Formats: sequence, structure tokens, C-alpha cells
Amino acid sequence: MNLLSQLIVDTAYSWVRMGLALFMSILFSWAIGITAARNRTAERIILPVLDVLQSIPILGFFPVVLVIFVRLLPGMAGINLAVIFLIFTSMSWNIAFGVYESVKSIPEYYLDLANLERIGTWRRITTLYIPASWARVAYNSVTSWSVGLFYLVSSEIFTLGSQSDHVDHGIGVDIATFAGNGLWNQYVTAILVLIVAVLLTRLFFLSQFTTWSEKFKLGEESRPIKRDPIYKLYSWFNVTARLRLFAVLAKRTRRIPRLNISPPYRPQNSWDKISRAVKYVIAGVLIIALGLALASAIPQLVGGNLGLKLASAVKDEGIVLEALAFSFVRVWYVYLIAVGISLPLGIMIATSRKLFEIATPLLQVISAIPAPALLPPLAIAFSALSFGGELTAMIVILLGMLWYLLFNIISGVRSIPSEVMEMATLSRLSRWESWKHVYIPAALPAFITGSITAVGGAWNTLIVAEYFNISLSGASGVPLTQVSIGIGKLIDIADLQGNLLLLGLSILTMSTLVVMFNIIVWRRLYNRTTKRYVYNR
Amino acid sequence: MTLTQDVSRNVASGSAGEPQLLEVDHVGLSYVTENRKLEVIDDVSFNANINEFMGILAPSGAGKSSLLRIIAGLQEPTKGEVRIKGKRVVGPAKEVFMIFQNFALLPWKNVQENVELALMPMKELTPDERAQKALKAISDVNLAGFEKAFPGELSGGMKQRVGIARALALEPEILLMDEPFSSLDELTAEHLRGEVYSLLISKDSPIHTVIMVSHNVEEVVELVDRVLVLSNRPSRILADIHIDLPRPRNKKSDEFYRYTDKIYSLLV
Repeated sequence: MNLLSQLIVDTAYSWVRMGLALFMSILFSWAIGITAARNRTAERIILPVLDVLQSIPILGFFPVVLVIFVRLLPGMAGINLAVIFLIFTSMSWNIAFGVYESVKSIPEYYLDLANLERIGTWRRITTLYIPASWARVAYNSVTSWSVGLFYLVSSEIFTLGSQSDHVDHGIGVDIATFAGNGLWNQYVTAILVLIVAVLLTRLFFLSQFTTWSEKFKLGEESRPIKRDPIYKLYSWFNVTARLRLFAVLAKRTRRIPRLNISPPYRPQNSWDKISRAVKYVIAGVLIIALGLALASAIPQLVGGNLGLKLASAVKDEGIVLEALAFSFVRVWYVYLIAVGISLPLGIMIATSRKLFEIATPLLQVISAIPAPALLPPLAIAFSALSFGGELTAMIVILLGMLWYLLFNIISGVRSIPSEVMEMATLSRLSRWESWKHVYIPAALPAFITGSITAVGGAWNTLIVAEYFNISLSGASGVPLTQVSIGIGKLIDIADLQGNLLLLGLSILTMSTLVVMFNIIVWRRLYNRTTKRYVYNR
Repeated sequence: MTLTQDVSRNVASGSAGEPQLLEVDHVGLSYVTENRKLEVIDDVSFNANINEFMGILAPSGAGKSSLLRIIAGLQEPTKGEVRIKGKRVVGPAKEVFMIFQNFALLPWKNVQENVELALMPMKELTPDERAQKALKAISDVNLAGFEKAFPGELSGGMKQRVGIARALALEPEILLMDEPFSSLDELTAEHLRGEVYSLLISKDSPIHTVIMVSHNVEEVVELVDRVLVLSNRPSRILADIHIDLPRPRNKKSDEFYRYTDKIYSLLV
């Protein structure tokens, strides 16, 4: 069958991109992770940088990356490299932090042994640090693979709508092209091929990789319980490293657990809290101002009036802020919907053995589809509606968020110790009472982790969800779908028009907002919940 | 001092007509794993007497915790049945509550809220009465002043006191204890053991029967009125021994040693 073989070849192209990105990510992670773990100064720089990298919406940078790579390497090579680079950036911080953590936690006696044997740096790396980090590299690769899949499909689709030429072969390209031309049978076949490819990769590559890497584990560090199938599923979506990185960075702000008895929440000096938030806001405003100045100064080198340029940059910034405000509201109302669906559903699945057994394989399959792949049919289905663009964006963002939340909630509830479940049963709590007092609080830390990831992902999804223009055979006129206003749309349009000033400002402002929000809101919430809502006898 | 090894004695000792509080009748438990059948409990039968502190002693991994969960109605036996007041146990029974090895406290609730949670299903209580009951139980276990503390701020011994207070407040007729002292350090455990008997078994206590599971021979001989010694997997009853020692028991006395020696010789 011609179509099938074409799809398989194209999936192979996509998978080669993924594989190269993963390979580069692992090499990069060893370099960065080992350096950070073994060098104090490097540690102080690398950890915060990784934290920023994991929270900025990197898809927003893709248009710029694409332009740069294509200029450096014209033609297919440049575009392909840009796609691989994007996937690489999405995969690597997670693995890098895994390496950092496992090298950091090598038991002291191994290092003593290495010192006694006078083992040099290079041999230390090859015989101790790398083997010691294999288990985490493999485990985090699983997560990175599903994160990367989102960027693969998004970036392949994105190249279709960009000024530059698009990638020739790729499953994402097939999906978007079929949908754009109304070839629905082919579209569905392509989605099915993608699902099968994802499942086969999980089964025959990622699972084997993790099993194989187990033998390199040092000491008796505890592992997630393997018997529970949700842990397998969860690991595709759980961003463990994010959680740990948060914990490490938060140590500075966290109070030391008290041993003596005192009122649980000692009212903190609220001025301290405010002033810290204010500090971050001021830093954010400064970054944007600096960006504005730079943006207007760089074209100045080429020619033109600096004052005029600055004025137009400030005007552009106004447009950016307005679009950002709309997208901000969009992300949050979709988040609320996602929570409304995933919280009850997750608890129901986690607490019912029957439902859990049915849901787990089902979720495996559904979650294999990256949300952007579903964009074209949605856009066409809703194109007659006046608010069709908004609806399409909503559903695509929602689908992107749902899995992160759902898997984290299920896993959170299932990590409740069996004794506590038995206590609740013997206390004969009603369904509502056990939800309110036991399940929801127990799911809270995992829920926050899932939320951080889900909202972070949503900012990326915006780039494809808010505006999508397939320029097939040069016929780029009316976009397939668009919202009335939003930062994702603004980025896409700035890219189409080649307006680098607007593009740069949009990305900078959006990233600043997201990073600030992470530091001011999420980290604080995360600290609070892990302090009280975690079982540690 | 009498050593009773007649296993069948207590099974047959139900007073005519009136149903026993707790009857464990030929209970067996086995799992089928992918490659073989795993026998956990072979065949266990006994009755529990009113106002008796009972111990179930077995080597680690012998299925004694499973037996406790079968009695509580948390797990179904594959053979036989458990009856409470003559009624077959299917699912958690309202006469039963448990004290857990790892305390089973909710970290997001303070001491008083943890105790009150177990009282919540008693719809006949007003919130005020519920609080009163909880506070009384908390002060009974000597935790007065710690009502608003969270489990994370308490030592292991204090956490288990909260577990005991929760059971006291709930006033179950049958109280099960699953290795209640084994996750405490020895000094704390020793201290708590000294108090627990008088807390649970007294004339005005609504708790009729306490069954404690343990693998610690000294602990059992120190605390219980009667001990069932179980064999290793699959579990059978090796002996049913009454401990006739005056309280408080002197762990250095010859009689005490005689009991522990006897039990050790059964287990080896």
C-alpha cells in the first residue's frame, strides 16, 4: 500500500529527528549535569539557568531559530537542524537535571574509593559518573520523549506555515497536509500510524532502555513501584526532574522543619513576601525595558533614527502586552476547565480498581496523540462558527493540558499509603468525606506539579493553537484558524511578516511573564503543598 | 500458671445460644501469582473472649497482618469465614477499628482533626459533641496541649498516641492493632507499652476485645492475656497460650522467662 509505506517512511524521518535530539540531549546532559554536580560555582549558575529554560515557552523561539538556521545552512539541512534543535531544547533540561541529581547523590564511599585509587577525572567520568547516572538518564528520557513528541509535531506543522520552506518528510507534515487538503481517510491513517509508532517506541525502546539501565544503579535508592501500571504511564508525563529542581531551588526560601511544637503557620512578615514579589516584577520590567532598548538600538546600526525606532518599539510593546493579556486569560480559563475535568476523573480512576484497569490502556493510546495533530480537523469543523477560532484554540490547549493533570492526579492518589486507605475505609467515611479529607489533599502536591507542567505546555501550544496558516502550494491567504487576539497569533504574524522587532519583543515579554509567574506563584504554592501534604511518617 | 496448648478448646467454648463477639472459623488465604499458588494462611480458627487482650504472634511474613485485615473485613478470605456477633463479615464491620503500624495519620490535619475524622460518620453527634469526644481521647493519651499540632511536628511515639486516641474516641467493640510498636524506637515503645493496657482494657472501656499482631515475643508476653502462636507460611495455630502473670509484669521474673522460652521453642 502506497500511503502506508509513505507514512512509515515519513515517521522514520520524524523518529530520526527525535533520536538525534535525544542523543544530543544525553551528551549535553552529561556535560552540564556532571559539571554542575562536581563544581560549586558551575552549580550556582547552571541550576537557575536550567530552571528558566524549563519554564520558558521555547516554541515561541522557533521562528527565530528557524530563520537563523536557514541563514546559516540554506535548504533542507537548515530546517531539519532547526527542528532537531527545538526538540533537543525541549528534551535536554529534564535529562540534565537527572544527571546532576544522580551524580550529586553518589554515595560518599564511592568517591572515597575513587580518591584512594587515585582515579583521574576522565576515568572518574567514564567509570563512575556516567554509569551512576544511566538509570536517571533512561527514566527521564521516557518523559523527554513524550515532551519532544509535542515539539516534533508542532515544529513540523509550524514549518508549513512559515516563510521558509517546510520539511519534506515527517509525520507531522503528513498530518497537517492531509487535513489541509481535506483528505480525511489519509489523515486518520496518519494519526493511527503515529499512535502505533509511539506505542511501539514505548514498548520496545523506552521500556527496554529503563530496564537495561537498572543494573547500573548504585546503592539501594528506592524506585517507583513497578507493579502499578500507572507508574509506567505516569513516567511519560511526570516531570520528576522539574519537581526535584524546584525542591532544590526552593531550599533557600524554605524554612527548616521545626522539631518543637508551635502554631503551624507562624504568620510570616508579609512585607518580606511582598517585597520579594516586587523585586521579581521590577527585574522583569527591567528585562523588558532592556529588550526594548536593544531592539531599537540594533537596527540603528544599520541606519535610521534612534528616537523613532524607540518610539515604535514602545508602541509595539503596547501591542504585545495587550495580546499577552488576552492569552493569559485564555490559558487560565482553559486551565480551570481542565482541572474541572481531570480532578474528579483522576480521583475516580485512581480509587476504583475496575475503572483503573479499563482506563490505563485507553489513556496509553489517547495520550499518544500530540494535541497539535488534532488542530486541523477541529479548525475545519468549527470554521463556520464566528467563535470557531477561539473554540479550536480552547480544545487544543485543553487536550495538551489534560494528560499532565490527569496522570499526576491519578499517581498522587495512588501513592496514598494503603494503611491510610484502610483507615478511611474502617472509619466508614462517606464518598464525599473521603474525597474532601483524604483524596483531594493527597493529590495536591502531584496536582501542583501537573499544573506547572500543564500551564507551561499551554504557553507553547498557543503558538500553534491561536493562529494556523497552512501555506500549501504557495496559496497562503486566509489562515485555517485564528483567534481574534493573542500572543501566539502575534508571534506567528510577526514571523510571517518578517517583523523581527515585534517577534523579539513578543517572545521576550511572554518568557518574562511566564518565568516570573513560575517564581512568584508556582514555586510558592509548591513549597506550601510539599511541606504539609506529603506523607513522610 | 497454666500453659494451654489445646487449640480446639476455645473454638468449642461458645456459651450456649448466645453468639460470640468474634469467631474466626477455618479461615484460609492463598494468592495465585502468575506462576504458582502462594498459600499465606492455611487454616486458622479461634474465638475472642470479652475483656481479653489477645496477641497473635508469628514470624515476619507469616500472614498475620493479612489475618488481621480479614477480621477487619478489609480483605476477603479464600476459605472459611469471620463472624461478628454471629453475623458473617463482608466488608468493613462497624464494630471494628484498627491501630496501624505506621499510624495512618493525615499530614494535612492536626491532631484533633485527625481524631475527629474517624467520628465524622457518626451523624448523631453534633460538631460540638464530636470535638468533646476527640478532646477527651486526646487528653486520655496524655497529648493535652498538642491538639493543634500537625503529625509532622510530632515524634513517632506521639503519633502513635494520636492513633490510639482515634481508636479510643471511636469506641469500637473490637480493636485491632497491627504491630503498633514496631516502627517506634525501643525506648519510646517500652514507655507506650506500659500505658496501653490500662488505656484499652478497663471496666468502663467500651472496647471488649483487643487483638494485637506482633513478631516480638517479649512485647506479647508483657501485654496480652492470651497469645496465639502462628507457624510460618502457610500459617496454622501452633499454640494458644494464656499468660497468667500479675500486672504490671516484671520482665525479669522467672515466670516471664518461662513463657518467652516456651514461645521461642515453638517458633524455632
